[in-house]
Amino acid sequence: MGKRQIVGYRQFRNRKLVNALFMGGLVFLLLSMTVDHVFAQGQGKETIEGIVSDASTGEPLPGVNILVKGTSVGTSSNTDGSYEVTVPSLQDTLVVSFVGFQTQEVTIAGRRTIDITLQPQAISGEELVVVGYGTQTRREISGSVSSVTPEDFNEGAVSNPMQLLQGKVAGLSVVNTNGGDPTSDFEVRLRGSSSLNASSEPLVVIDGIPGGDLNQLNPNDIESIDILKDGSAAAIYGTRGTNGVILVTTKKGNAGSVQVEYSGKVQTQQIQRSIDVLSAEQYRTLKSRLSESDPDIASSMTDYGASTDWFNEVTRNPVSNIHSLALSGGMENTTYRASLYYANQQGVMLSSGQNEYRGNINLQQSNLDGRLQLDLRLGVSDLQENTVDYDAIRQSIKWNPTEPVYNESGELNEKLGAWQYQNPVGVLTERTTDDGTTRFHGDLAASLKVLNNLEVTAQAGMQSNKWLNGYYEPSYSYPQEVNGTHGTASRAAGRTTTNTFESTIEWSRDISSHSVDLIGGYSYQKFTDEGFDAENTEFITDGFSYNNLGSGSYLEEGQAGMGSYKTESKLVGYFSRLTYNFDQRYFLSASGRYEGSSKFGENNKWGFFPAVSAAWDLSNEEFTGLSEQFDLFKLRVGFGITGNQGIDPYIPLQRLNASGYFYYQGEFIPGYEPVSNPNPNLQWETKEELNVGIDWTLASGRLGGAIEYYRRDTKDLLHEYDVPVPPNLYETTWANVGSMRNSGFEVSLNTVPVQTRELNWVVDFNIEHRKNELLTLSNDQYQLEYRNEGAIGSPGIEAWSHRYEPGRSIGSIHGYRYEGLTEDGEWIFSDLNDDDQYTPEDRTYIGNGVPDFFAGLTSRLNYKNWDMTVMFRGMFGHQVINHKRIWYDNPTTLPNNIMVSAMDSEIRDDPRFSSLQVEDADFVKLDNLTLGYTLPAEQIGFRDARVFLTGTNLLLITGYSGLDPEVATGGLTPGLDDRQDYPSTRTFTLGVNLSF
Amino acid sequence: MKKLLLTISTFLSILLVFSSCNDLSQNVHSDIAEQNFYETERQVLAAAGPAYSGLRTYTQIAGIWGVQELTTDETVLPTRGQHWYNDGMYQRYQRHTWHAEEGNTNIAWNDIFSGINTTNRLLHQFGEIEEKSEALELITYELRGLRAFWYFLALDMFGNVPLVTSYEEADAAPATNSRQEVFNFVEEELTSVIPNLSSEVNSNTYGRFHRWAAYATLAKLYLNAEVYTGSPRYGDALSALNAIIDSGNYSLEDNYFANFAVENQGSSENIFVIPYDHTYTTEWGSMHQPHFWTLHFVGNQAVNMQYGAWGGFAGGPEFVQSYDDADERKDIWLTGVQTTPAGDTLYNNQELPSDSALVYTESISSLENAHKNEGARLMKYDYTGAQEWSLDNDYAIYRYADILLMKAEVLMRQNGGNATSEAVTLVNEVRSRAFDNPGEHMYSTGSLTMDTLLAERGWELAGEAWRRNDLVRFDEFASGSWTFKSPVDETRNIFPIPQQQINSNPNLEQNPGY
Repeated sequence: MGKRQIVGYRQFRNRKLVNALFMGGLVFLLLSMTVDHVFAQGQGKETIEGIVSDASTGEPLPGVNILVKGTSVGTSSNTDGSYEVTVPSLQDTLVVSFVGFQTQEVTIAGRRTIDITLQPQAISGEELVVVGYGTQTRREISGSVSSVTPEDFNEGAVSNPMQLLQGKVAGLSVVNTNGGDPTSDFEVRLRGSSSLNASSEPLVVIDGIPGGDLNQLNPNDIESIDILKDGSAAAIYGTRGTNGVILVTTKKGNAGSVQVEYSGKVQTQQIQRSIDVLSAEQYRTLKSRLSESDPDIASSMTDYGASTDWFNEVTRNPVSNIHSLALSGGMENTTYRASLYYANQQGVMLSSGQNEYRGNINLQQSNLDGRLQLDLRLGVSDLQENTVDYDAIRQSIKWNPTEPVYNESGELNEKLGAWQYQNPVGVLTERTTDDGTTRFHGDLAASLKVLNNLEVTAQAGMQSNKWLNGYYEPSYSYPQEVNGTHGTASRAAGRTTTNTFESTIEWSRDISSHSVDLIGGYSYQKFTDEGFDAENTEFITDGFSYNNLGSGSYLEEGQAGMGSYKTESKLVGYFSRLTYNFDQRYFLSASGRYEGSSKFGENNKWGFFPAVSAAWDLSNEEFTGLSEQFDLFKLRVGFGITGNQGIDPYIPLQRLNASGYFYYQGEFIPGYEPVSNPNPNLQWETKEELNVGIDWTLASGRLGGAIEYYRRDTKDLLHEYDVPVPPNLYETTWANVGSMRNSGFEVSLNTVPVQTRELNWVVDFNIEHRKNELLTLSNDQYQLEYRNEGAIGSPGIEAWSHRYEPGRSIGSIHGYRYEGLTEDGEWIFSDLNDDDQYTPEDRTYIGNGVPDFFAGLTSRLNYKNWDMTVMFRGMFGHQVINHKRIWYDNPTTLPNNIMVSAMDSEIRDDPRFSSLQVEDADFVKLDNLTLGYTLPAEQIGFRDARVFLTGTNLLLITGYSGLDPEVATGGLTPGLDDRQDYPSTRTFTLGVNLSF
Repeated sequence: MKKLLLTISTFLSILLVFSSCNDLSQNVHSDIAEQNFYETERQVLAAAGPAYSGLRTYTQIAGIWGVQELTTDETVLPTRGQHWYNDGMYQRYQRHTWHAEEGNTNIAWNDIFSGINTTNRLLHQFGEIEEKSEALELITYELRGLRAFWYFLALDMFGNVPLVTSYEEADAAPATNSRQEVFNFVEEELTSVIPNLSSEVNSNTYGRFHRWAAYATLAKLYLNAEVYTGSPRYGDALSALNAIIDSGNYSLEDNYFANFAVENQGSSENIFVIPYDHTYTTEWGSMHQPHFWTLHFVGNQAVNMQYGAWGGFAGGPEFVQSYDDADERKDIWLTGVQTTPAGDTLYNNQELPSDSALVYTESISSLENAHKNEGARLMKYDYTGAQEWSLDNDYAIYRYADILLMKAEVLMRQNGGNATSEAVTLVNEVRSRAFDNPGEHMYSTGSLTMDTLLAERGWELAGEAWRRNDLVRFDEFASGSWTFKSPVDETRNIFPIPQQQINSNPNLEQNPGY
């Protein structure tokens, strides 16, 4: 009875907290937990106590899970590491587990006091790493594989799991390409881009299903993320392994009473840097100054009498919140984990934001004495996004600061007929963009131990993304007024579906010092993409928004569009891998995947992707003498061939589609024509990668690291070639011709400089160097000297921004070299061919948008209950085109507004793109600073309770003059800081994690 | 144990069944695989569509029309403040200092050769159809005629181009043929298909390459034969022109502007037209859009045009000033204060004080930095009430007035460059309708010289993309000079083969002087 009262008291405290802080719905769960808790503890017969500590430091470990094996009975250790558990019998076994430590089984053997020491995982090389169709211990791995576990994850208001990894892994770049836009994704690249036109995105595998969508996961559900970096590790995923593989494993429930984890975050944001344009006062000053020297310009600069800070008008201080609740538990043979996630994120630009729910369930069932294991995973998410037109930023720069936001009658002030000049506030507020996405994923996996060393698995899954987007431009909005129409609405709906079936058969055997594992498997995936869209214009009222498309008149008159499409493709693969190790000293792995894709030409659908890697752990060799200091000193070498099929389906086929109407005997009738040049010989793009590396740890894991070097050659690059018309139908054809080389080295260093009873300090550092060279773009049939990419834009500039050419690296910026100004303020560029005029021949290489170095530094400091994490991230050696400066750092842009720096500019010539606007963009960001406090959980009735404050992007150290030097590094036009962009922000997050 | 065995066997059977699929055939849904097309008459006709819809690229200002026009004294696209610099391309077009990488020249080339390739492809595909309907037979001849028309343009603009006449057996990288060879091909093809082309002039042949379009092309070919091949063919030109005139199918409209009206299908003067419609002809890169390219940003309001215009090209100042003030044809150039149809004055915005009225000037102060209001704006086709992105006005490639003026020119050239009375009659016939009191403005054998004939052609045909062709023939293109243009080397009489094309086809030979 006494216990019940204590529990009741806890319940009261908890409830109060929960009510006060978050949501009332939790109460129900809490009640059920309490009952469950009491029930579970009531079963006990014998009590066992002791202290759990860290084997490497002797520090007591709080929060360690202690479970009686085969039952749901258990507890967790207190802040001083002590525990007390009531067990059914003194002959039972305890299972002791804790994040970051090896799980240990302790037989009670009649004892009543048992002190337990746990071995940290990081030291031993024994922690399990997911490698694709299996797991290996860290020591056994012979390819290049990095793992990140939750304690290393970035904190803050994370909605996309890739944010967890920013700056953590050498070779993995996660780049914010669109500043603080909550609806924007990250650019993820492993070892850079190894393709020109085919996909460069790494393959994501979630719980064994290739091609997963990270946005469907609740970040709190992630158990570990393993990254297959090199070809020898990724080749088991054959066709899509070229860009590396990111393997995500989600958390499962543990047998025992229900465990509740709650995490809540509230975030606000602040503009990191704003654009320094003329204020209304400066604009007036300039006008009066120019009225003497340049009356023409001065007279065109109208003073409308207001003082408006347009940038301020289009931005706000947003508030976002993210909640996650997870329940887990189970019985001896059945465990579960269910989680709910809710995020409401506001963007710093008016009207931008998103609202999302995600729900995930993992169920595990063990049958036939553990021989048959069933795993069921289900997830749904619902996302509502409000995307905005980044043109608002350009408009906010160019709008005359003396213009009022609203006119006398309270309507938005618009200048109809002015060229690309619309009220920036209207761009954001007088449009409705509602994009809705529903994601579903579900899979069932079964593994069966046919014999003790023979296991068969099968996994079938389905993922679908359905979207329904709505857009409305009301009759009073600028584009409608300009066009003289009354409302334009559109809707788009569609679905992408992936069906997966995979099966494996695995045999393993240990004979004395020999250990062999052989796996073979089959994989089938089918991808379907279909959709429908329609738009209409001319509505009788704005009241319908996009909800009554048929009531407009344009569709009926044939002036609005409507369409639908469907494509599908298939991938079928057979794979096998042999791993062998001798005495934990020599390791060998060989794999092959024979895979076919429906996307390629009739004779080239199938490809074979082999890989082999080997490792030697010198620390286990007596003669080296390394075993004294080193826990691990492993030399690795691997070679693997992977493929890329990231192109549209059907390219090899000759297809026809509607080509527009033509006049035939008194009426317009539709014509049909070929869609593209067919190339029945189209085939796999392949990449060969050599990787060598050293992994080492010493001083019981307090110092460790890895060094890698890789060289990856991509051949038969999938690329669109310029071909003559005739004989070809179109000016470009997809073909496999060129080759490119990427090479680089990666260094990571993990240290624990201080490790005492009260103070623990961990520092992790990683840096990578990337080098790209395009080797050739031509063969006998297709020739290409170079290709220009990108467009600087209007008004007035017809120039590309980038060029790629054999012997150069992708991402090279190409344009005039600025040399100065004439006395009249006209441009002087390098006249490379001395013909006294500036022609395309005078353009040259003036930078490169791909960083040479990426680095990340994380320091984690724990002092008593306090913790502080600091993460710096940097990119170096690249240049960025400061696009805004081309027009707005030039006084000829007047009477449109200009930057303050242009006030005294000597330029009197029209905007031109040159090296003047290409700036070094090396930067270091204080990307994450988190201060946390772990509450004395036991005293307030929690298993774990922590509050924290996170700031991101707090400090930017750079010589770059624009808003943010962190822009896209991939694709063919990296390093463009566009004038139409989304401002970067600093974020401040207050969060709490509770579990009980 | 029994349960275990049962589970194992079930499991393995399922695996075996599911793991056996390796079918990688492709299901095409929203396109049609080619082998499943050409099954019905309707589908065959639809397949012929691209041959005609491709012709719509002819009026592109960033393409064939613009390259032919903006390089002459008739029109100019000056840089206006920050607008229309386009890396100097339009300035170079006007000054004849263009280089081989100009984007618009490449577009023109692509449009022409896509047209050629489409006709080659369709001729091949229709050739495979064994039982041809009458309609299909006729279209096959039209396709050959269209191909000859495209090659005529190619030889006119680029001179030496690859002659590809087969779809299946074409070289992967076709080599350049001489201008003479291309000339011979165009001549042979046109003369061979003419008897088989329809001679009707009615709604069934409207917008199609009928016999009179073929004769008009042949006439242009022969008239310029001396430029193209070095040997004049005026007699042949005369026969081709007479074939059209003697057919009696065409006559001059009483009102010059009737030919360019919004609904101009009824024109008795337009011979070969490209039909446009703002609802049906909506592909970017092949719409009829001079209104967007020439009117000032707010100038759209003067003609009740739905969307704002782009404020680009204008009339060449000397050319616009060269008209007789009484010449009604000068009205194609908009000048002076612009007002809405209701009479409200339009105002400048942006770079000029916003309280100043929008005034189009005849003069243009600078090719590098003109104000946005400078230059007369071309409104030959009626822009009134233009909806969406394309005019509804059908574009006339050949007009009967041009045929008459060509005949006059042939007669004069056969007469040593001197007017004959028949030539005077022909020119006066065209000129007289442009004046309220024509009597005062008529030519005589004394006043009609080659120079005045060229000028007359300019006034009559301004904005119809024949100016470059005329100037070259009169030796006034490269060697001529006007407001923004000084004489340049004769090699500028043809355009360079676009560098982009040479990059993808090394067998192409660059024209001399580039």
